[in-house]
Amino acid sequence: MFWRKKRPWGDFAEEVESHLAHEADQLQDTGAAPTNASAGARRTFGNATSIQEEVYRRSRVWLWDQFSRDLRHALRLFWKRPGFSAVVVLTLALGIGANSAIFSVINAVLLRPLPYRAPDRLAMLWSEDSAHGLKEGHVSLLNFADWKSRSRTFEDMTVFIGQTFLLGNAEGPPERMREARVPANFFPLLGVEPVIGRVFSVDEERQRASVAILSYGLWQRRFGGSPNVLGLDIVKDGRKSRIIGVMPASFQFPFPDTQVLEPITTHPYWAARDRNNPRSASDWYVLGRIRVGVPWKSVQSEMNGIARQLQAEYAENRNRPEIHVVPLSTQTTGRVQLSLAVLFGAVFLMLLIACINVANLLLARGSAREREFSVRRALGAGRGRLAAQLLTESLVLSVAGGLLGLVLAAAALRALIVFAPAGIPRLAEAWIDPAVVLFTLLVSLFTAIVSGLWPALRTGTAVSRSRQWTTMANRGVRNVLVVGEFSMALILLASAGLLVRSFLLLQNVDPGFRPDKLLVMRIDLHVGRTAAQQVQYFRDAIEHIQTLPGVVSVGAISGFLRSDPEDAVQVEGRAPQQPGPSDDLIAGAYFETAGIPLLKGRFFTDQDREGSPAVAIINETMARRYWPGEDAIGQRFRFPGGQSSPWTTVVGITGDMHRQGLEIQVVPQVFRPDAQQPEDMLEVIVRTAGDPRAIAASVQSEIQSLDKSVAKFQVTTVEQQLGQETAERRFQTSLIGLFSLAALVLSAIGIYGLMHYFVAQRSNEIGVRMALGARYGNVLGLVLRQGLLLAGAGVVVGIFGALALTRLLSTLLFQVTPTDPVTFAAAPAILLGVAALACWIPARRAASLDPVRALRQE
Amino acid sequence: MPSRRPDRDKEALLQGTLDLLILQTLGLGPRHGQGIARSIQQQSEDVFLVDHGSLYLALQRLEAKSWVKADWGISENNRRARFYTLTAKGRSQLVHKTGQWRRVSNAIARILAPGEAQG
Repeated sequence: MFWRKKRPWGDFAEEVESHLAHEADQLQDTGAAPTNASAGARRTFGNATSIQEEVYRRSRVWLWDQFSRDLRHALRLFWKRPGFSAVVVLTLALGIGANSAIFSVINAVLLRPLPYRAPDRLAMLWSEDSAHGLKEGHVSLLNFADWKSRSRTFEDMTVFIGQTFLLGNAEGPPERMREARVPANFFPLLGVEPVIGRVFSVDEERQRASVAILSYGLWQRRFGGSPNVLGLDIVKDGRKSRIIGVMPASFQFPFPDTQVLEPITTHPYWAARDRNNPRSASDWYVLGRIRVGVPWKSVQSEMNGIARQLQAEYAENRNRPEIHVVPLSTQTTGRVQLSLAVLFGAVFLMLLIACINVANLLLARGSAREREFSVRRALGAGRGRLAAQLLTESLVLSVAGGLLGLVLAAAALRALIVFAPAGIPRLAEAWIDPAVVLFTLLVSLFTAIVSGLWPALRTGTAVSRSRQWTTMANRGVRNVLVVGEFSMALILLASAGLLVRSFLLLQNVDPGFRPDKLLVMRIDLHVGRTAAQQVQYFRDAIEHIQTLPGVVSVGAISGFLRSDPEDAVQVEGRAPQQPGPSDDLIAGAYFETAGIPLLKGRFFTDQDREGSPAVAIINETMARRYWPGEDAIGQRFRFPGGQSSPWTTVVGITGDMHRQGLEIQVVPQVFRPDAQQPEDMLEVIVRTAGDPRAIAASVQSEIQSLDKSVAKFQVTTVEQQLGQETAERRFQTSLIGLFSLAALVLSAIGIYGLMHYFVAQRSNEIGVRMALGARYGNVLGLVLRQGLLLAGAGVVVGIFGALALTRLLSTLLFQVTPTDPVTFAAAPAILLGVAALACWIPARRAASLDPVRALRQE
Repeated sequence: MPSRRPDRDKEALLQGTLDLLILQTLGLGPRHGQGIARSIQQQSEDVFLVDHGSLYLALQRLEAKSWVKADWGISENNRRARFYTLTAKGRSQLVHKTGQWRRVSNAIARILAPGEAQG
């Protein structure tokens, strides 16, 4: 009824007055004296004030009225005890802020829908690639055409491919960037439209028109966001394309760094799509839109059927047994889901610990306020009323903590985005939006209830009992809380420990080469050179860099830290086998520069050139796997397939090198001389005498001066590149480490507070003990024992909890089992050590009590 | 909160009957609170004592349900008073409640004195 206009208090008072006057009039009519009449009227009426109160009470939303009264009271208390309030608010703000920060990341990365029309019906489709052990392998164009024509569950399907190009417009330096080539149906399928201009038509696609659509970022950066850009040309790899549109800023598809979209028909592979063995030429990405109302399961089972048909019809498809349909949202964020879930779990545990600390503080204050509550109970306040008031107080504290937490979260989020590794999709979009504010509000409510409920319930019962009993009961509750706190801290600490150990083990992996003092840069010749010119260019580049001061040696390889295996390999005298080893081309003093040892045979020489017998150096793993128990030197192999390579002789064996990443097993590896199989793109590596960054610039300008048409690439150190690989793990490990550190500190504060209270409550008893002859050490032991007993109980509970929960981490761990004994020994030890330290101060205080003074307090 | 109880020698109103009596009284024309109380007392030949707390709570309830409306006016004694008037909704409620009451009281009468109650 609170929408009804409230009747003012005075209005009813006036009505009562009018009533009394009429009553008195009537009494006077029957002959009473005026004074008697009004007294009589009052007597007949009864307790006017009480009636007025009753009417007032009934006319209001009672609960709200009471709540607002409690609220005012709570706010008064809040300001009256600034120290207490500050500690509680700060503790809660840390807990809530961490939750809000992680939630805003989750919100941006996982929850916020992708910026396309009905994004929940978009899916990526992949060909399983058993040769390379890939579940999500690229798709051949012919298979794509069959999928599209045979499937019924898809509304539409589109295909695209990525490529890098050199932007060579006169205004600004040449720059290498990524583009995508897509069909005309790509845009309506996603349901996106350009902010200015238009997308290309089916006709333009068919005519292989030179038209380009820019990304918002490129438009802003290189064209100043001018609308006059439409109709201008951009120069890509020396080829002109007319700009016809600009995509919105939110559009970062298909690749996060896509800068230009062009018709798929202009891609060189498109022209070659019919040539030899096209079903094995899997270079394409496929995206589909599922029909409305079709469940994912039937989509997958339809594609399974199509995969079986295609296998039966085309032998080349035997390597591609399955088609995997992956929802686009999963595709975008699947990799980070577990990491984020783990982080969220960690901050939630941290919040619970913070809540427990606050509950403890509230309980302690509840004991101090016993007198207040006894008086209020005596005056008729019900148990519910007192509990409601205590809950209101904890609500005020929690909401204040939540507001401060929101501020902390905003700051933390900014730091998160800056320090996070590049790989987390859509992280930059994370912000404190209404969803985050709502989440924070809910967390604050949750906090208020969790931290305030127990103290509220306790106060109700305890007051009615004796003072001594209250203290005991409260202590029991607080003991339970501290045990809970320690068990949660242990779970966090054990999880952090496992991740830290994984990280350290990863750092200790021998990469098989010397990553320090090593520069790496990719050089892409790209267009218009003959094979001989390419070989010559790299030979010149290596020679020139070699002469620079501070350079020890120089080499080149087709991909230093990245390599794809060949489809198949055939060892002389055996049938071809799948998959083949990784195959890379090298030039210059590659092995010496990288620091990879030669185990047997020889390195390449200038004699290994075009026209001379094909030679190869292999790694140890390859020698062991392909020629077990034999000498691999002098053996011959070749790569079969459409353009099979010549028989190649193994001339050397080198040590293994972790090229695909430290976490991945070494694969068999072939190195061949660039001179025998020229490449237009190599990564040049340079070993330097001193700090590699110091001469990066001179290396870069040397390459630039050699041939101005060569794209300028960033020169990085190998350590930097390796660092990027471990950055994600480092980031996640340090976050969880940070949270568990916070949990550790909070638990220490919690047990410190409890023991402090314990000593204060039992100072009489301690005084008696000392008077009866207890020594310093006895008292110290008494307090420490009590504290460590609680911490120990918490640790034991926590170990069981951690054993149950760390299994969820297993995919994030490296060479460590989820029940790693080292971690499970270290975490309890650390926690107990911290508990002992935290108990030490109150224990010392207890032991130095003056027994006389302690007893006098009685 | 303690509230006034009726005197022992008078009958307390049965639960729910006060609303009906107020509506019935107002059926005869607008009245202020004191007038309603006096009217009920007189018509019941002083059997019922109207507890004033209950009366005003009841009036507030009826007002909330829009069965009555209230306006300040001048009484026959030339005093300001808050006059309650039956609304159309209140009038139909009066009819409905009266019928209901008759049925209930007849039934109770039959149970208490089986021989006498014939209508």
